[in-house]
Amino acid sequence: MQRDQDDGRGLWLKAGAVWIALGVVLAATVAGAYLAPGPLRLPLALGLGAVKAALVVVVFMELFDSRASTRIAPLVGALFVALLFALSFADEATRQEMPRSFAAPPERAVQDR
Amino acid sequence: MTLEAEAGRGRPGQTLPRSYLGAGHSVRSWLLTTDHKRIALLYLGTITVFFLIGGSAATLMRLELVTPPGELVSADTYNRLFTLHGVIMVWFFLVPAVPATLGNFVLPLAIGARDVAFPRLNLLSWYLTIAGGVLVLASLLLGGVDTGWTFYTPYSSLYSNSYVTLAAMGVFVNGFGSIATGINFLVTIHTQRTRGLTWMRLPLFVWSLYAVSIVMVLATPALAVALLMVVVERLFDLGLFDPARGGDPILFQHIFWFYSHPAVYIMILPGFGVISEVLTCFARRRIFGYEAMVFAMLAIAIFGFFVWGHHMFVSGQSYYANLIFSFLSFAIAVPSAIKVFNWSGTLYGGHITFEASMLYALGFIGLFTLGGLTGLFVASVPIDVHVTDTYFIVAHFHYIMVGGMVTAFFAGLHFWWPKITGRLYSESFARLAALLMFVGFNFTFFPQFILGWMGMPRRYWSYPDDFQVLNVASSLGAVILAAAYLLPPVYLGLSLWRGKPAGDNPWDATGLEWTTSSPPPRENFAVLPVVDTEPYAYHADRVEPHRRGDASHRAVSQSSDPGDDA
Amino acid sequence: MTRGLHEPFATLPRQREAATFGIWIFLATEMIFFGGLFLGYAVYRHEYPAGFAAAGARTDIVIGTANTMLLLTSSATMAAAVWSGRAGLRGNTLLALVLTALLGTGFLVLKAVEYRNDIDEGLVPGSPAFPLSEPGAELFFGYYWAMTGLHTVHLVIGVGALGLTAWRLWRGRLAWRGTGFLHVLGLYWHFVDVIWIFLFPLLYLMGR
Repeated sequence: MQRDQDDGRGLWLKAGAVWIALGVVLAATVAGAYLAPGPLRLPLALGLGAVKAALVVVVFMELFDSRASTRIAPLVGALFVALLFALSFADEATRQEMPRSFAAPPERAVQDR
Repeated sequence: MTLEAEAGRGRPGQTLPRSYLGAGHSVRSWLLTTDHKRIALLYLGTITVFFLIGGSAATLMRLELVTPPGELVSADTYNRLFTLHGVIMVWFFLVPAVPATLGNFVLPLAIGARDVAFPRLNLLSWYLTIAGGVLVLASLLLGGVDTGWTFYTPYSSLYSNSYVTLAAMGVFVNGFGSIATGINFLVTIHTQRTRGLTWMRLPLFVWSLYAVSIVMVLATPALAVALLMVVVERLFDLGLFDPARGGDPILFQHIFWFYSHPAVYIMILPGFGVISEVLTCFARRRIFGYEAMVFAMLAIAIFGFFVWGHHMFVSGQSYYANLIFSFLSFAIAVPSAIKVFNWSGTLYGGHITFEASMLYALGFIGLFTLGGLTGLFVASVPIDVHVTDTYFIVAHFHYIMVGGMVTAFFAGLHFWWPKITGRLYSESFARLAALLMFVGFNFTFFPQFILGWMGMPRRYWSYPDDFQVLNVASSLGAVILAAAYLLPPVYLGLSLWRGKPAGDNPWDATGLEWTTSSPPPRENFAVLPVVDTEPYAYHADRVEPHRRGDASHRAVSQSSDPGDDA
Repeated sequence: MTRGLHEPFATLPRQREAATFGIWIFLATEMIFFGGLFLGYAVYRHEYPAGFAAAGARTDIVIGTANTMLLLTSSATMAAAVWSGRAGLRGNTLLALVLTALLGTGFLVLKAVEYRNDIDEGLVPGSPAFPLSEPGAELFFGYYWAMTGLHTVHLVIGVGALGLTAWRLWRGRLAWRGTGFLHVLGLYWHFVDVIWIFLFPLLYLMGR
C-alpha cells in the first residue's frame, strides 16, 4: 500500500528495492550453479528460486494482505502439487524395473491430426 | 426461515410476467444472458443432446453384443463407439450434469443471492463446454477416436491412427469450462450467502457443490496438462512418454488418474447433495447428523485425490505403490458409508411418501451402495488383478455413475422442475419412469457383474458363446432402460403447456429457493431473505415429524413458541 | 452507481475481495497445470541424472539469465503499476503498464532467438541432428520445449492483456479506480514470473 506520497516516488522506490534484492539472489543462483559442490547445486538453485518466488508472492502479490480464504487458495494448490509428486514417486521411485526401451518398437502409423 | 421476501412478492403461482423466462424472448437474450437460471437451461439443453448421442453409441454397442460373433459393426468401429460413449458421457454429460444445470439454477437461490459471483464467467463456461463439444463432435464426424476415453499412451500418442488430437483438445477446452464453473461456485458460496446463512446452516446441496468445486478446481488442470502432453507428443514428436526414448507411459496414467479418479467424485458428490434435499423433504425429517454429512463430503472430496493408483494395479506400477493405494482406497469407504447410514437414519421415523423424486432418491441409495461395495472388491489388489478390464469393472462404475449419478440427476430434475418451469408434471408418468429406470438399470448391469466375474473382458466386440445368455439379458435390460430415458422428455415437455401451475412451494420443502416465486424473477428475490434457523427444519427438535402440507408443527412456526417443544 | 461495480455485488470492496479470491483459485489451478510437467521432469531426472546434466549444459545460459532478469524487472514494474493505480496516479500507472509490456515483449524476442538457435543446433527431440547420445537427453529437451512453450503461451496472453489494459486506460475506458482490476492482472503476471523462476534453474543451470 502506497498512499503516503502522491507523486508515487515511494512506490517506485519500494519496487526498486525489491528488484535489486531479486537481482542479487539471481546472481547468487547463477554463481551457485558453477561454484557449489555438485550434490548441493539442485537444492541450492531451487532454494534460491523459492527465495525469489517468496519475494514476489509476499511483496508484489500481497498474499498476506488478503483475506484468510484467499491466502489458503495457493497453499492448497501447492499442497496438491506436493501430493501429486508424493504419490507418483511412491511408484516411480520404487519401481522394480523400468524398461529402457523396447528392442523393436512396432511400426508407427501416426498421421498428425 | 424468516421471509422478508414475502412482502414484495406477487400472488403465488401468478408470476409469469416477472419470471426470468419472460425477461426476453429473442435468441440473443438467451445466448448473451448472464442470468444463472438461463445459463442452467442452456446447459440442460446441451447435456440432453450429448446424453442422446452418448446413449445412441451405448445402444449400438449393446446391439452388437447380442450375438457372440461381431456382426453389426467392425471391431474398429466398436472401438470408436465405446470411446465416443465414454468421452461424451463422462465430460459432456456426467461432469456438468448436476453442477452446471441444477447447481447453476439452485445455488444462488439456495443461498439467497441475486446471481453467481461472476455471471459473465458463468456464460463463458457454457461457451467453453460448447466449443469443446463441437471439437469432439467434429472428431466423431471425421471418423472418431479409438483410444478409449482414457487416452492411454503410448497408443494415443504414438500409434493411434484416429482423431485423437481433435478429441483431446475438445476435452481440454471443456475442462477449462469446468474450472471456471468451480471457481465461480467457490467464490459465490464464500461471498454471496445472505444474512444469517452461516456455514453450518447451508443446505447439503450447497455443501456438495462446494465440495465438488474444490475437486473441479484442483483436479481438472491435471487432466488438461495430461491431454496437452499427449497432443504435443503427437503434433511435435516431443516424446514426453515415449518408451523408445526411455520415457514412461505409466507416468501419463499417474497424471491422468490424478484427475480422473477425483472426477468420479465430481460426478457423484453433487448427487449426494441432491439426495439429501429430496430425502428430507419426502420423509419430513431433519437430516440425520448434519455435521457428519458435511465433513463426510469434504473428506470424500479430499481423500478422492489419494486413491488414483487403484486404477493402475496391473499397469506395471511398483508393488509398494499398489500397497499404498489399496490401503487408501479402503479408507475412502468410511466417509461414503457415513453418508449411506445417515440417509437411512434420516428415513427412520419419517412420514415417507413416494413421489417420483423420492423413488429416484431411494433407488440411488440402493444402487450407490451396490456400486460402492463392489468398489471394495476392486480396491483389493488380488481381486482387482482378477477382474481388471472385465465387465465387473464396467458394472461397478456404471452402478456409481448411472445408478448413482444419473438417478440423482433425475431425482433433482423432478424435485426442482416445478421451481424451474413453474409447472407440475404428471406424477404417475414420472413414477412409472422412475420404476422402469430402476428395473431396466439392474437388468442391464447386474448380469455384467457375473459376466466379469466369469472373465469376459471389456472393450471386445465379440465373445465366446458361453457368455451369450447374460449378454442378451443385459441388452434386453438396455432396451427397457432406453425406453425409460425417453419418457421424462415427453411428460416433462408436456407439463410446459399442460401442467398445472406449481405454486411457490409444491413439495412444502424448506430451503430459500422455495420462498420465491416459481419460476423465479430475474433478480431471484424481491427482497433478499434473512435466515435464522437450521436447514431442514421440517419439524421441531425432538418432535415427531408430521405429514406434508401440515405446516402447523414446523420449526418455523414454533420458533415464536418454544414452550411447545417439550 | 459506482463505476465498475457489477451485479451481484453491493459494494466495490466486496467485489474486489471476490475478484482477488477468484484469481488466486485460478492460480492454484495453474500450479497443478504446470505441476504435471514439473512432475514429468522430476521423474525423468530421477531416472536419468547424467542425461539431464549433459542436456542441461546445452541450453543457452546467457539468454536464459538475461530473460530471467527481464521477467524479474517486469514484475517490479507491474507492482509499481498496481500501486500507482491504488494511489490514483493515472499517468504513473500507464507508464508502468507500458514498461511491463515492453519487458515482456523483450523476453519473447530473446526467447524466439533462443528457439531459433536451438533448432539450428538440432536440440529438438526426434531430430536426426540431435547432438547428444546419453539416455534421457532427448527427454530433457522434450520437457524443455513443452515447459518453455507453455510458459511462453502464458506470457503472450499476459503481454496481450497488458497492452489492452494500457490502451483502455489511455482511452479512459477502464474502470480502474478501486475495482481491483489492475491487481488481478498483476497477480497473473507475477504468477507467470514465478513459474519462470523455477523453470530457470531446472532448465538452464543443470550440469554447469
